[in-house]
Amino acid sequence: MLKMSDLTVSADDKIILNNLNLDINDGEIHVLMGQNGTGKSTLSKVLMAHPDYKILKGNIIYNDNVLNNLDTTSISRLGFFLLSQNPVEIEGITNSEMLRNVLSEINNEKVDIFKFNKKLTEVCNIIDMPKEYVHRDINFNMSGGEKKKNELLHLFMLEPKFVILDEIDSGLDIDALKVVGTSLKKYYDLYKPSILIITHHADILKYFDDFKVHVLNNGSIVKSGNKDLIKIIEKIGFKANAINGNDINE
Amino acid sequence: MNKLSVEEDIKSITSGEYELEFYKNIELNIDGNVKISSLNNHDLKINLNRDSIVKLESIYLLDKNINIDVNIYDNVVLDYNVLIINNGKNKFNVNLNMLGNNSDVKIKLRTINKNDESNIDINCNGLIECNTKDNKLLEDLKGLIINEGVIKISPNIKVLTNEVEANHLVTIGSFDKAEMFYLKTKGLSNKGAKKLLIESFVTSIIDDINREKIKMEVKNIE
Repeated sequence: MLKMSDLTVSADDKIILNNLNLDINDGEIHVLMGQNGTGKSTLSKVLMAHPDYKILKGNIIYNDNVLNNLDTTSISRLGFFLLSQNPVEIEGITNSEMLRNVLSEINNEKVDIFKFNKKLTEVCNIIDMPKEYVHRDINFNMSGGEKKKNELLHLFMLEPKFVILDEIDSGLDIDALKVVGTSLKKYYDLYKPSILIITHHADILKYFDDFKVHVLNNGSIVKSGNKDLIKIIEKIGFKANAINGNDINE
Repeated sequence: MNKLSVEEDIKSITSGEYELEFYKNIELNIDGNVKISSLNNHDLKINLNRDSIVKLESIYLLDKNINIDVNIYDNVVLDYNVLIINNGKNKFNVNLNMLGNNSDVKIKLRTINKNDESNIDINCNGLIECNTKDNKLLEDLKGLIINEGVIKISPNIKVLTNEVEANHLVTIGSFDKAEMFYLKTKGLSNKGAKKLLIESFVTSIIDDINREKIKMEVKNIE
C-alpha cells in the first residue's frame, strides 16, 4: 500500500503540493485529474524522488518503506515505474541494451539472452510493436505514439508493481490510444499492479473497469469519488468553486 | 566495407566504402562518392576534389598531438564525424579549408578524457577563402566531462568572403540531468546510468563497425 500523508513539496522555494493525502491499496487504480499547473505531474516526479523537488512536510510510505529519503534507483527497485508524458530521447543506447543492463543490475547476474529475447518477442506482440524497435535507440526519432509504445515495452519487461502514468494519453491518435489502453489493461490483468493515472481526459479510462478518482487543485486533493465523478467533471469541468462546493450531485 | 591499408605517403581514393588503416602521417586525394572509417593516431591531410561526396568517420584514442588538414574544393559535400578519447595532455587541431565554391561541410566532434590527469585542447579552424561563394560550414563540437580531466574546445571560423553560411555549436558539460533521472527511474544505479550515457555519447556519431570496439575502450571509465 502507498500512503501519502500531509505531503508538502516545494520547487525553487514555491509550494507545489500542499498537505496532500492519498492512500492507494495494492492492485487499486486511482485517477488524478485537475487543471494545468495544479501539481499532478509534480506528484509523479516526487514519488520517483526527482532531484528538483523538496519534501518539506509529510510522508510517503510504501509497504513499510519510507520513500522520503530514498533515491530514484531505490524507489524504482521497490517496484515503481514512471511512464512520463514526454519521455527523453537517448541517442546511442538501444532499448535492448538498457533493459539488459537494468535487469542485470537488479538481479545481480548476467541476463539469459535466450529468455530475454523470447520475452521481448512476446511483449512486442502484446503491444503491437515491430521487433526491430527493441534495437532502436531509446525513444530517439520516434513519434509521440511510438514513444508511448516504447515505454510500454519497458513496462512489460521490468514488471513493476506500482505504475505511474503521467498523461500517457496526451498526443495519441485514436488507434494509438487503443493499443496503449488495451496493453495497459492486459498488464493490469496479468500483474495486478497499483496504478496512478494522471490525466486531463477520460479517454484512457474506458479501458479500466473500476477506479477511484481524485481532483487536484492548488496542490491538494479537493474532491474524491468513484468513476461516476468523471461524468460530473466532464459536465462542469475543473472549476474550483464547483468542485470545492457541495453542489455536486454525485 | 573494404579494408584499405595505406603505406605510401600519398594515396588517391575514388568511389567506395573503406575501412582505412595507416601507421604514419599520410595525404589522401579523394574523388567521387566515398565513405571512410578509420581508427588511427596520425596526422592526416585530405584533399576533397571537385564534386566529391564524402562521409568521413575518424576515431582517435589520442595519446599525442594531432593535426588534420582538409582542403575542400568546388561542389563538395562532407559529413565529418570525429570521436576523440583522450589520454594525457594533448592538442587536436583540425583545419577545414574551403577553397572552392558551393560546398557543404558539417563536422561533428565528440570528446571525453579517459582519466583525471588528462587534458585536451581542441581547435576546430574553419577557413572560408576570399573570392569563394555559396559555401556552408557547420561545426558541432561537444565535450562530456566525466572526471577531473580538462576539456577546452575552440571553434574558430575565419570568413574572408560575403556569400557564406557558417555556424558553430559548442557544448562542454556533464551528464544530462533528465537522462540520468530517466535511466534511474528504470532501476539503473548512478554508476550504471553514467556508464550507459558515456557509451551513448561516444557511439552516437559512429557507425556499427566500430561501436563494440569503442564501448570496450570506455567500459572502465568512471
